[in-house]
Amino acid sequence: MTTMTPGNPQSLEKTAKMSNYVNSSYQHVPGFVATHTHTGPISGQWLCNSPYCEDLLVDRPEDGGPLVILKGREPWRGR
Amino acid sequence: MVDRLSSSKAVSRGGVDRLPQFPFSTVFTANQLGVNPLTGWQYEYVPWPASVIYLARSTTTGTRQTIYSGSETIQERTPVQGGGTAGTTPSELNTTPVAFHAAAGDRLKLVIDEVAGGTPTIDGVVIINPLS
Repeated sequence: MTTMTPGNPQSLEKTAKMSNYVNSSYQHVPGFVATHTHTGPISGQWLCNSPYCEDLLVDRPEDGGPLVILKGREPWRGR
Repeated sequence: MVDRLSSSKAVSRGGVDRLPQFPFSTVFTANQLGVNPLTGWQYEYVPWPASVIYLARSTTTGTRQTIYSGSETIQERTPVQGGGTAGTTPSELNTTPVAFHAAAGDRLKLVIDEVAGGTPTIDGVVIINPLS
């Protein structure tokens, strides 16, 4: 049995893995707006809350998918 | 515009300064159905005969809307114009308005469905102009 203490290297490793998992899943979900789920051939399922997504079967931008346009950060607004 | 409204032929019931309008911006969840942004509006039930102008624009093309006025179906289930910017009220410059007359007591009702699994935002505005 693994003791979950801050000094235990195993627990730290596990925490880091979980942290990465959470960050990668919610990477494109700033704020608390409703999310939708994309399913890409490379990325698998990933969450997004852009109001501009037309196609759900795309990869994350990091994996070659289209850019995610965030609300209030629309490129056509010159920001 | 003001001159036309204040002429003797087109005086609004209640005066030229009463043109109730209702801009809205509604965020949808994936596959959300039956949204009516006008619910609870003071003029949801039009108190007098009125000319109604309605503009709506979605950020995606995955939304469908039906428009009712009382017992009449003004527009059957059709796609909402896409290409909008979240939080920006559509303008007649690039959004075709839906215009119709509502009878006194009619309930203005919108039914908007999200069908593409996304999370779009629909911005719109309803302007009701009392008929004399």
